[in-house]
This record gives sequence, C-alpha cells and structure tokens, in this order.
Amino acid sequence: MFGILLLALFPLSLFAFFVSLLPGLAGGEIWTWVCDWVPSLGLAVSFRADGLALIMALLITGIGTLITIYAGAYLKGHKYLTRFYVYLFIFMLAMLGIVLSNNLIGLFIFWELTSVSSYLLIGFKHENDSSRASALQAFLVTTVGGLAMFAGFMILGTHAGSFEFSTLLLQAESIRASQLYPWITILILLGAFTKSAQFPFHFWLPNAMAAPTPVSAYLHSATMVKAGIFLMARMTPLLGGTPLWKTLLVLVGTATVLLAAWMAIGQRDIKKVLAYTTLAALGTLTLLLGLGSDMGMKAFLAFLIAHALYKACFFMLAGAIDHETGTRDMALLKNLRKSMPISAAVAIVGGLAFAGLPPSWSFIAKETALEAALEALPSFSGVLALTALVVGAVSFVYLTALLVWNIFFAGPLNVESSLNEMPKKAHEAPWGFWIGPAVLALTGIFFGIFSSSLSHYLLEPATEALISRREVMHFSLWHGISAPLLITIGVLTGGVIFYCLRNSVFSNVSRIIQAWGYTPEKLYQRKIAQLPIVSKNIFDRIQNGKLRIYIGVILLFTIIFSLWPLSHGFELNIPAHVWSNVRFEEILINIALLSGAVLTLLSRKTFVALAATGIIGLSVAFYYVFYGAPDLAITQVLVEALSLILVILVLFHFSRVAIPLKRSSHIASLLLSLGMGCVFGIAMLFSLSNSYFDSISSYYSANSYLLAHGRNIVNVILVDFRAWDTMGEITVLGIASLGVYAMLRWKKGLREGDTNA
Amino acid sequence: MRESLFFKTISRFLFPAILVFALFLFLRGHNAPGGGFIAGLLAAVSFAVLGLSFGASKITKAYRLNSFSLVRIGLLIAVSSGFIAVFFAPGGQYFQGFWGHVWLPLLGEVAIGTPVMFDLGVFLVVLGIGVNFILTLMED
Repeated sequence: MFGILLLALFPLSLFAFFVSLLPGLAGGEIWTWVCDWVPSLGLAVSFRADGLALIMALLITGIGTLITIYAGAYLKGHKYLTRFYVYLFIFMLAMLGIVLSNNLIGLFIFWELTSVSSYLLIGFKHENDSSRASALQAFLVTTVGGLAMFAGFMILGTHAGSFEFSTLLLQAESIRASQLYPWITILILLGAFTKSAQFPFHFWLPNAMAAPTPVSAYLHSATMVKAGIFLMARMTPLLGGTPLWKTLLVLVGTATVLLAAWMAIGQRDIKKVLAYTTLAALGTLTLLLGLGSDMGMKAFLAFLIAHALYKACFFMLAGAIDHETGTRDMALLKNLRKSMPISAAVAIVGGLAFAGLPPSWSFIAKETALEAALEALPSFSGVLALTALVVGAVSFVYLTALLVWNIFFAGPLNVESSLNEMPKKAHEAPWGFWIGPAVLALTGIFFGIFSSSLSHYLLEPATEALISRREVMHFSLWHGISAPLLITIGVLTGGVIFYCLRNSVFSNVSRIIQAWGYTPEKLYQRKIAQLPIVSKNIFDRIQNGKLRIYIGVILLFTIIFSLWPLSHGFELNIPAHVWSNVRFEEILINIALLSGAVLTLLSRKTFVALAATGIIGLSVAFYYVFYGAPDLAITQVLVEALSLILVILVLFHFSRVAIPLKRSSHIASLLLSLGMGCVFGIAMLFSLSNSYFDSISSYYSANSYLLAHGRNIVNVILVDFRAWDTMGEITVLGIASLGVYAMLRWKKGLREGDTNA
Repeated sequence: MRESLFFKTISRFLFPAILVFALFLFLRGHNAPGGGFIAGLLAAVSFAVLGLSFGASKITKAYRLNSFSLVRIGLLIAVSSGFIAVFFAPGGQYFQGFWGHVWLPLLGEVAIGTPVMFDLGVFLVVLGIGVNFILTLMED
C-alpha cells in the first residue's frame, strides 16, 4: 500500500500545481507554455490553462489521485497491476493534454491517445471475450468520430490559416459566416458526440463497464467521456450560438437524456445503472451548452463539477460492494448497513448529491440548470430542456433511493433471480476502497456550503472561456421559494412515488427494453460483422498473392504518373556537346550493356538470365567510374553481387516450382518494360535539357574539407552534412530487416510444422 | 547445397582478405572512395562467401553472429554519435560534427570525429542487415 501512496504522489503533485494556478487565474492571469515542434507545418506544443481547462485539469488530477489509491486496493495482487498503472497514467497525461492544448493538432493527438489508452483499459481483463469486444467497440466508435473531428479541424485550420485556438478565436465571426461552417461544425460535433457517448453513439459506454471499476469511475464517468463535452464547450465561442449548433446540441442532448433515463431504470447491475445515469448526465451537459444562454453556461460549469464528484464516488462504492459481496446485482444486495457501515455513510452523503438534494453542490447545479431551462421557455428548445431535466432528475432520485436505501438499508429489488443469496459474506471494505468516495462525497457538500469561493476561483474565470467575458455569479443553497425549488419538490415526490412502485416499474421497463428489435448497437454489430466479408472480397482481388501482378501495377502507375506531367510542356533542348563528345569507352560499355540486356531476354534458364542482368549492372558501374563517382561504382558492384546472391538463394527455395506463363502475360510484361524504359529515357533527357536550380555540388566540394574534415564528398554528405537522412535510412533498413526475418522464419516455421504433423 | 572442396579452400583465404579490405575501405572513407555503407556491404559479402561454402548455421554458430544485435548496436552508436556535439561542443546541435586529435602509434597524429563514429554505426547496421538476409535465406 505504501508503494501505491507513493505512486499517488505523482497525480497529487500535478493537482497541487494546478491549484497553485488558481489565485493567478482569479486575477485574470492565464498560464501558457509554448514549444515549437514542427515549425514548418505550423505545429507547436502549446498549452494554455484558462478557467475551463483548469476545471478539467483539477478533476483529472484530483480524481486521478483518488483513483490511483483506489485501484491499489481494488486490484491488489493482480499480476498486471504495473501495466494497469502505466495505462492509467498514459491516459491521465493524454487527458491533461486535451484540456490544456491550445493547438488543434495537439488536441487531436492527445484525443486519440485517450482512445488508445481507454481501449487498453477496457480490455484490461483481456482473457474475456466480452471485455475485448467492448474495448474494440468503444475504440472503433470513438476513433471514427475522432477522424471526423480531425477532418473538421483540417477544414477549420486551412480555412482560417491557423491551428492555434487563440488565433482562431479572433476570426470567430468570419468562420461562423463562411460556407464551410456547417461542415466544420457537423464534423467536429461528430467527434464530440462519439467521445461523450451521445445518442445514437451512446451504446459503447454501458458496454465499457467491462473495464475494472477504477477505470469505469475514472474514464467513463469523470474524465474521458467529458472530453467530448469539453470540446463542445471549447468550441462554443468559436462555432456556437448559431441555429445549427443550438438545434443539434439540444436535440441530441435531450434524446440522450430521455433514452438514458429510460434504460437506467431497466438495469439490475449497479454499474450499468451508473453507466446509463452517466449518459443522462452527459446529455444534460450537451443540452445546457446547446441552450447557449449565460444561465445555461453557468449551469453547465456547475453541473460538470457536480457530476464528476458524485459519479466517481458512486462508481468506487459500486466496486467496493462488488468486491465485498461478489455481486453487483440489485436483486441480491440487501441490508449492507450492518456489514459495511462506513460505505453506507459515504453512500448517504454521496446520495444527497446524486439525487440533487441540499446542501450538496449538485443541488445548486440542478437548480441553476432548471432556471436556465425556464428562462428559455416558451421556445421549443426550452420545452425540450425542461422535459429532459425533469425526467432526468426524477430518474436520478428514484435510482438514488434504489441504490442507497435498498442496498444498504432495506431488502433487495424483488425480481426473479437464479440466486437468492449474495455470493460472499460481506465485510467492511479496506480503507483504500472508501477513502476516495468519502473525499469526493464530502467535497460535494463542502462546495455546496462554500459555493462563493468555488465560483470566484474557478467558475467565473471559466465563463470567460465560454462567453468571452467574465460573468459574476452568485450561488446559494437558499434563494427563496422559486420556480426551480417547486420543480425540485415535484421531482422528489415523483421519485418517491416511483420508488414505492419499484418492483413493477423495473419489471415492466426491463421487459420493454428487451423486446426492442432495432437499436443503434444492433446496427453497429451487423455492420461490424459484414466488414471482414466485404474487405475479404476486395482484397482477394487486389492482394492475390502474385508478385508479378503487384510489380506490374506499381510499374503501370509509375509510367502513367511520370508521363502525365511530361506530356505537358515537354521540351527537349539537349546541349550539342552531349552528342559530339561520345567517348570510345562509352561505346564499349554500351555494347556490353546492350548485349547483357539481349542475353537476359533470350535466355531460357533463370540463372543465365540472372547472370546476364549482372552484366547490365556491372556495365553501369563502369559509367560511374568514368564519370568520377568511384563510391557509387563500388556500391553498385557490391549491391549487384549481393542481390545476385540473394536472388539465387531465393530461387533455390522455389526452383522446383515453375509456372509457365501465358503468351498474353509475356506481351504485357514486354509492354510494361518498354514503357518503363521509355519513361526513364525521357526523364533522363528531360533532366539533361532543363536546369532549374544551380547544382549544389559546388557547395559541397568547397566546404567538404573546411567544415567536415573530409575530402570524399560523397561520404561527408552521408555521415555529416546529411547525417539525419542517413540516420533515417539505416533505421528504416533495420526495421525492414526485422520484417524480412519474420517473413522468412514464418515460412520456415510453417514447413517445420508440416513435417511434425 | 552441395559442398565444393575447391570453393571451401578458397573461401578460407577469401574471407579474411575481404574483411580486411572492408576495414580498409571503412577507414579511408572520409578522404577517398569508401565509407561505412560500402564497407558494411563488403563485410556482409565476406560472410556470404563463408556461408555458401560451409553452410549458414555453422557460420552463425562459429562467429556467434547475431544480426539483430549488430543492427541494434549500430543504431545505438549512430544515434549517440549525434549527442556528443550537443554535450561537448559549446552551442552544439544534434549531429553537428565534433573533432578531436589523437596520437596513434605508427600513424602519428590523426583527426578523429563524431562522423567516424556515425559511420561505424552505419557499417554495423548494413553488415547486420546483409548478414541477416543472406544467412536466413541460406538456412535450410
């Protein structure tokens, strides 16, 4: 446990760093950090911690610290614990990268990194088929969205001429007015909707519950799924405020809330319940952003924090219950108050926030959200928002009652079940299990009571990121008898009524859900099942395993694409001395070269043909000798010798199999070869007759000895002037050799396998 | 592959000769035709000759050839040669040449620099790859 605490120091110190930025931020000072990365592409690693980014950063590192401790208890003794922490910290840093990035490309890279680490974490129990399938599903859905988002970024960046977010903001007006605006918006929103599991891409999130509970608590409730929400908030001052933006966000948000509330009621697995309520919360956040009013933004920020606090708390509790009782089935869990008193206490405190009751921060957040929805009445979006908020709130109250009261204080949900006892006898969980939830639950209450300092240090600066000016906010637990308060009372009553009818509510809802035939998830599964068949059909045609065809295709395209530019404005003006200065040795070389070529064509035996191509190569080497490139000549001879050896060795393996070619293939090969010859001939003449740039060889010959202490220019270029290129080349060679080795060994292994069988 | 006494006898002499020639090409590379790439190819050829006459697995065992460590060590040397100037030359950039003079017996004072080290890396990588291709293909 000591090691785990030590590990937790890492996110904790990051948390402390971000806390230390808060006073400066309240004074209007924004922390930035810029470092050039690829200046020629306009890429910079640039970070900027404004209010919105800081809220997220604090949640990521703060909850991250608690999760680190919690995971130490939850996965105690797991053989892949180290691996788990590596994935977790990669995720944490990538997530911080997303929220702090000021550059769209940087943001995208971190975005994909979170998808990858999420994939690894969901599939952490990789022995399970279902784990792997869920991991893949989450990955595919979020990366498809991510690619759409990338396309959106590209259009945005090239249109506006910058990928720096702060630069883009200056042109917000013209971007919103441009013709490309709908494309940019829809593409970027696709990324946000998939990442934040909005309808109709919501299905991956409940399936992601296959992950270990610390992961569900961290990635799939508190942080990663908020990345999409965060992106929408980020883009609000840039792309927001238009009818398209508002309509999309409100519609999608409402649909998500309604669907999720309905689905949550029909679940028995605690984690699934929590997953669907997370969906509902994410829908609410989208919806609040879509309202676009100042009040909506306030409510958005307040609810963003509130939800992260109580949902992570409940997920961790669910893990503790699972760990102690061996089940997460609400039909089995009952009366845990006696065996798990501390967890029960934490659940009550956290439950206040979950249900949105005073004095929690979440109560204030919900009141503000209701106020924002009431403000938007009587417009259509106002009606939708109010409906969604009320339905969501009723379901939250009902589910809190079910989760807290039923599990800890009363009997189980009364439905048919194969078991009737909990698999394990429950005890209070070790402290590592409840310390995290306790801290989060208490923080939720603390913020509710001391709401003014929270809004001064965090929320007010964050409004600047959303509406480009600082909004002064006053939150309080009690502000008289108001419409939101009355609605809250109504919601509570509704929730309690539902709770009284819980058994029939549950059985009816779950029956209807199971009867649904056509859902986005089933569509996804059908498409995914078809994909390999479609791709096999295509690849059987393209990748048919015949090397001749591959090379033929490559050559054909080379011919077409080289002749295409040459056919425009091709002008030959070869200097006269090229023809007049033909030396005697050149004639000899050419005779050798041509006879090698003719011999290659005429020979009936492969080995003779090979030797004949060797003649061609050696003749070319002579050209290098006569034109002052001895290095090239040596290299040519050596490569010629080596490749001859290699080809002979390869042929030795296949010599017994001879496939006679059809006459038509011979003709096709002949045409391709002639074409290639022509292309090279023309290209050579072309380069001789046009000189666009001064030759750089004079620079090298002048500076080779002075700057690089070498007289052999070729080698000096290789190892000094262009060392970077050489470095790249030898790296590629090394990697290629790995591939060749694997391929040859694989073949060999197969053969050995055959003889053994 | 069939064994040929003639080829075997000759390759015994050919192998060291080619290797020494490769070393020669490597060392002169900076001022005259040669260099790490060529020397690496030639050294690979010398092992190919041995492999052809004695069989690949025998050669691999006798010389404890591990083509991947050759590639690895070569890449490591090449990459680290770039850092020397960063650490030792004032204001040095990655891959900037860094030269010093050493006194060697028989040769006297010789200028030696990081490009030579880089070239050694290139030599090892090319040798490793060549040996890898040839000997893997020869194994049967």
